[in-house]
Amino acid sequence: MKERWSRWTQRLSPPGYPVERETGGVAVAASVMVLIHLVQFLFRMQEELRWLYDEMGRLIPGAVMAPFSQVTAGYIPAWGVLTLACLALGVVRYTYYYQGSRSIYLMRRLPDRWELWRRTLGWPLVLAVLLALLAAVLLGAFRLGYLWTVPAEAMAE
Amino acid sequence: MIELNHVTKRYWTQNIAKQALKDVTVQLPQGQIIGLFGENGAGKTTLMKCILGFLSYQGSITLDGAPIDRRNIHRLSFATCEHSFFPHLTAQDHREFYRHHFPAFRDDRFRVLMDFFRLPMGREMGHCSTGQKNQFELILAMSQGADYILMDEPFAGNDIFNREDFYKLLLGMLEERETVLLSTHLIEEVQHFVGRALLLREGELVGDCSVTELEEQGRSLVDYVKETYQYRSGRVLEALDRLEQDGEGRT
Repeated sequence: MKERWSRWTQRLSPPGYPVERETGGVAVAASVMVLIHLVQFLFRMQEELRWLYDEMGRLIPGAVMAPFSQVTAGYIPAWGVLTLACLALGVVRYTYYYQGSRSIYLMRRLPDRWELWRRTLGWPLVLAVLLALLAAVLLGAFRLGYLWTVPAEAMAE
Repeated sequence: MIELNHVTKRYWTQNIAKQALKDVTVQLPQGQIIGLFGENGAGKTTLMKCILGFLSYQGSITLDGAPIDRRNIHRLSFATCEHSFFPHLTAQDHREFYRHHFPAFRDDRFRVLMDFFRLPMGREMGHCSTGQKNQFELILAMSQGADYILMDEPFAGNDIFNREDFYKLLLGMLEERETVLLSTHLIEEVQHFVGRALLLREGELVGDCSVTELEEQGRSLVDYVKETYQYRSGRVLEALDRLEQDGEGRT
């Protein structure tokens, strides 16, 4: 399984390119991002929920919870930047063909016209899609948490 | 046959147009070993890069009447002193890569040449010496199974014995259909190996001759190049004289 995965990632990367290191870096960045947003979401939810209840823990009549978009403010731009950074790895990969030799000459001579672009952009595109999916799943989880913890009477929307 | 018709290449440097190739028209039939000579900046590398489609140009370049593109590019291989292999791959990895992408890959030739030059199969090419890298670059170009092998200064950094060996191997190995276009400054060394010489000067094709014909006329390729370039052998002495006179004038 691991070997198949490695073969697949290598086929989507310049020959000899440290794709595992690159993927590891993206995984660490994504994990840090998930952690930051999780902590941020929990903190903001706790802050906002506090205003809905009185000292006795009873729901204050007419109190309205901050909208979901406010609780998750900054979430989509942050993940957008990370996804774009992933796509920018394509530029790093293209410059790789100029390091240590001019292997770009060989890549540009290959009869398969897509080989150069598949190896340059393929894996960054896969990573970008995976990040976008992760962002969507996380946002979905936050939404469920929001719906579960906020009383229906205090819903903003 | 590769045909270049009125090929012109212009570069823009600091808003000034420089012609790297000027109206070059030449035919490169199959089965020849052609030397491409000229001083630094004469346009030798540019010419090869235009043939390979790495650079845009005016005019036309065809291979057996068809433009050179993805459909026929496999018929051309390229060895360059800049090296075009992957520095983090081993020779074995390159062999597999070439076999996958070039169906006509000559595995037998690859093995013979690797053995001959005693190159390691399992070592990353980036960790090899410059001489070994040059040899490997040539091995790949020779083994690709191409009809036209373009070599751009392929021996820079190789010792004389190594180069001599390679010329001999080249002559012994090449088949009738294979053409070599060899760009080098080592005119004296290759004059007995090339059958035809093309001379470039400031982007212009200023000479195209058969080495056999030259030999029949009792002239060497070096003489022909010097004549065509209007080389003045006395210019070194003239410069030294001038330097001496300037020195005396100052003292």
